[in-house]
Amino acid sequence: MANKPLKVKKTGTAKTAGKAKNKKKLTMAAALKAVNGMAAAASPLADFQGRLVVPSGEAFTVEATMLHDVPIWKITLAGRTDTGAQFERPIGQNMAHMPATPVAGVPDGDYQLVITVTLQDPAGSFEVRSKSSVDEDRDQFIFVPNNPVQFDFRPVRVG
Amino acid sequence: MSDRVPMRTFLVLLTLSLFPAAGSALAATGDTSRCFDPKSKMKPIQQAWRCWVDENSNHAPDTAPSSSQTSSPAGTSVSPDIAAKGSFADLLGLALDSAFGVGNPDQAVTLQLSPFGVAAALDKGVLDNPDRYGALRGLRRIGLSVTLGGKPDEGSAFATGQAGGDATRNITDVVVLQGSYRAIGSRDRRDHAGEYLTRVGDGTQDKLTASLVAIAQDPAMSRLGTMTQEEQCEALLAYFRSHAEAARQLTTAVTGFEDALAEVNDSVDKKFLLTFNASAELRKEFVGRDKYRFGFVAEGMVGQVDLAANGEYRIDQDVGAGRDEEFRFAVSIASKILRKSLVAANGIDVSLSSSGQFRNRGRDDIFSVNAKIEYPLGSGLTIPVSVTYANQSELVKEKVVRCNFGISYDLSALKGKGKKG
Repeated sequence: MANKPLKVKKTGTAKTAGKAKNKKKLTMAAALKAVNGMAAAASPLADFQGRLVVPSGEAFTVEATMLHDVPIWKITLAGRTDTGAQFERPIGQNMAHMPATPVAGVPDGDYQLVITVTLQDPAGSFEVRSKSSVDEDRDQFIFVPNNPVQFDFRPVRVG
Repeated sequence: MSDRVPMRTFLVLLTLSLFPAAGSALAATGDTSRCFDPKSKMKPIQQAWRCWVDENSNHAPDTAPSSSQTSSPAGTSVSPDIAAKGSFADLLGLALDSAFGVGNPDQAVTLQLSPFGVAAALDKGVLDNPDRYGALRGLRRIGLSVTLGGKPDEGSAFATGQAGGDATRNITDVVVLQGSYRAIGSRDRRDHAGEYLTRVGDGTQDKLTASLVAIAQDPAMSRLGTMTQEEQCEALLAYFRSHAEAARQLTTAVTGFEDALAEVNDSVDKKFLLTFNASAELRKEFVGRDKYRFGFVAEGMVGQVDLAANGEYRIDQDVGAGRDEEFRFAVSIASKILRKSLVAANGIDVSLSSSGQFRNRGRDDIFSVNAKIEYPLGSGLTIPVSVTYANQSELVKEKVVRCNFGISYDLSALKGKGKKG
């Protein structure tokens, strides 16, 4: 399982466009129309956020990096297991760099990486990378004027 | 600052509790199109929450970042400042007079730089890596500046018209080189990470996480992973509308967090600094004499006392008729007395300041002392009473000792009331 190539989520636009190009019997005009039509149809996917998919019983890792600001942040995994039970597990907080930290023993279920961070320096940024054996995800925060406290939910599906 | 913290939180919550119907009415319309902005740097959940706050209170928490302004060295002919500042540009600064470039060499351009700025320019990792940033703290204590341009001295050949009609001015007639060394203190927030983590990183941070975890554990959130960002924003806004208590708790947590941050920022921005300055003001002969200055600036909070002190020794170029020398100092201390007393709940502002100028070559020394008390009558309204003593009558017109009192009202307080109301 560990040797599987990582499957990074894309917007899907290139893939759908590629499918259209493979329709060899279409005329050029029809092909262009098909590509345009598919691109338009695919536009809602352009901002598809995705989620980290973790195979059942496996661990995943979370890495966090704060650049150019005071490291005030916290990441917690929270949500519900497939049996409906509430689940919460602190993952890390307040380090300039948290190396890839394994999160193991999470029951199958739908969770959120609950991320809170403060960014007060205009050059400041905070990045969270999560990775499983089959998937990876990246969430970046940058300075937003008048919003020193930022937060996000990053979906994680286990199982 | 601490006085405003509970008041702002209270006002937000009061408004939210008074107008819950507004949120319900909007929920009925299902109008979320103005909620999600794909160009926003904020995450969908934060956009949804902001939208809910706007719907319910029309008062989003706001915290303005602090800023600083670079300028030419104090004491030079182009600076409005009497005393030098204790802080300087960390990386690079450029200050231009507003009308610079229209052929007026009386105005000036100041370029500030620091050895740390050079190190950061050569290696980006210096800024990003906390360890390397901290390791170069020594370099951040040093500031350098070059100012080009300035007014001619009052008694100079140019000012008195003795320079001849063909004398032309240009920006390099006056060049000021200044070096600063901050011996004590720092107002760089990254130098006070421990203070932030102590005062913000515990309870306040946990409260925000707890309110978000409670939302994340709602069964409705399990669908977020299959949604677009816009759909997420929509779903979260609908959640906040139907779970007003959870949204209020989140609002309380965020506002509390922002207020706590603002308090630490305020504390860091008032840290005590002691800075030494040396400058050489090099002038062409027809616009005056060269001047050399050596001084110090101390400013910031020491315990409950706001202290500002500076001193400067200046020596002019010797042009054969002797050289002017002078020592100037100014010190000011301010504090609040009788805090939480029956006389004034928020305390009474008292300040004591003194300045002196001691000069050679038979010129008179000048010094003055001022004491001031400001008694608060209400928000923004004060009665100030001040007494000034000076040894030179031109500093206090008519008499050597003068007492002033009056009523002062801070109009910005009115503006603040208008916003919150």
